[in-house]
Amino acid sequence: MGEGDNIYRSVEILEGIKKHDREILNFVYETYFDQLADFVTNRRGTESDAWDIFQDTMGVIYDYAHQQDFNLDVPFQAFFFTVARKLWFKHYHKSQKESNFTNEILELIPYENTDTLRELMRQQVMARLSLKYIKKLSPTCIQLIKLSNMDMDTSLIAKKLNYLSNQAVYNQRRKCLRKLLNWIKHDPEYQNLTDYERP
Amino acid sequence: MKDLEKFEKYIKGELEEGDLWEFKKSLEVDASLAEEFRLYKITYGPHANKKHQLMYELNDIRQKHTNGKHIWMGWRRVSAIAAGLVILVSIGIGLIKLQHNTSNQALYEQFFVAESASFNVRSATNSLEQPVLDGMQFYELHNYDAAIEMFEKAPNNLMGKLYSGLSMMELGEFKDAATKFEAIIKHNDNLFVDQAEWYQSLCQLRLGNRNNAIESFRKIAEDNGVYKTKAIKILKELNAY
Repeated sequence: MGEGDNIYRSVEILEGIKKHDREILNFVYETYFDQLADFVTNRRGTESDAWDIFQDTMGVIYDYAHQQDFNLDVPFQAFFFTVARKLWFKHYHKSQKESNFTNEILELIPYENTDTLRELMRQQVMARLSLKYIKKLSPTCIQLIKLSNMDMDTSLIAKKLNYLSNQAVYNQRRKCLRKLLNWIKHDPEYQNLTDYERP
Repeated sequence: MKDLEKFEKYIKGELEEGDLWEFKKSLEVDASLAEEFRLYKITYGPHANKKHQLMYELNDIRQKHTNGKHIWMGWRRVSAIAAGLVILVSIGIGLIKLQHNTSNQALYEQFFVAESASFNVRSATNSLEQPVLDGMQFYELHNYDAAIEMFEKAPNNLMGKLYSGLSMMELGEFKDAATKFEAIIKHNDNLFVDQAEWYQSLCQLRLGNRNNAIESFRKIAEDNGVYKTKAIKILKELNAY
C-alpha cells in the first residue's frame, strides 16, 4: 500500500499513536500487521514472532513520537517497516534461525539514526518484559505499582490500600519492584539485550 | 537490586547534594548500576504506565481481530471431529451427545467476544464503587482471579456482577458466571440486562444446556435489543430459527 492509499497522513498516524487513539491504532494494525506477518513468516518466523515484532515496533515508534526533537520526514509506512525489519533481524540474529543471515540487508535500511534506534529498541524490549512479569505479581503488588505509576500520592495509596504508614507503602513497593526487576533480569531475552548494541 | 531507595530519591529529586554527586558519579563509573537504573526507569513510572497501556490496547485490538481466525481454526477442528463422529455414530448414541457438546463449544467460541471494560466504565456514573473500578482494572489486565476478588467486595454492584460473570467466563467457570448474569436479569431495572441475557445464554450453550440456550436466544431475538442480530444468527447456526 502506498502512502497515497492511506486515509491518514503520516503525521496524523504518529500523533494518534502518541495519544493512544484507538482508531489510529486499529488502522495501523489492520494496514500493516498482515504485511509484517508475511514478512516474518516468509523468513521462518512464526505469527507469534510477528506479533512480538509488531508490538515492539509500535513501542519504539511511540517512544520516537514522544521525543521533542523528532520529525517524521518519511512516509509512516517506510518508518514502520524500517523499525520492524531492524527489530526482526535483531530477533532473528539472536535466535539464530538462519545461519546464512548477513548484515547486508540492514544496510539497505535508509532510515536509521543508529544510536537512538538501538536505544529505543532496547528500551522497548525491557518495557515488554516488564509488562510480561507485572502480570505475574500478586494482585496487591500489581495495584501498588499501578497506583504508584499513576503518580498517586503515597499517603493516598496508603489510605486506599489500608497501609498504616507511607513507609509501609515504600517498603512493600520496593519488595514488589525488587521481585519484578529480578524476574526481568533473569529473562533470557533481557540477558541477550547486548545484541541490540551491535550495529 | 540494592539501590532502589536511591533510585526513587534521585527521580523525586530528594537526594542531598553530597549523595546526589556520589550517585551521579556511580552511574558514570558503574555500568551495572547504570543498567539497573535504566531498567528501573523503564519499568516504573508514568511513562512506563502509558507504554503498558499502549501494549494492552494493541493486545485488545489483536484479540478482537483474531477472534475470526480462531473461529476458522475452531471450525476446522470441529469439522474434523464431526467427520470422525459420522463414522463412529454406529458405535453408540452417546457419541451424538458428544458431537452436540463440541458444536456447542464451537458456537460459543464463535460468539463469545470479550467485553472491553473501558466503554462501560466511561458510560457509567461517577458513583462506581472503588472495588469495582479496581476490579475493572484487573479485568483489563486479564487478571481475572484478582478482578473477581475485587468485584466480590461490592456484591450489590450490578456492573461488578456483570464483569465478575465475564471474568468467570474467561476462566471457564460457566455455571458461576450464569448465576451472576441471572441475578442481573432478575433485578431487571438496570442498564446491563441485555448483556446479561446474552452472556447467560452463551453460558447455557457452553454448559450443554442447548434447549435452555435456544429458549433464551429466542427471547433475545424477539426483543429489539443490541444482541437481536447475533441471537438470530446463532439460532440459525443451531437450526432453531
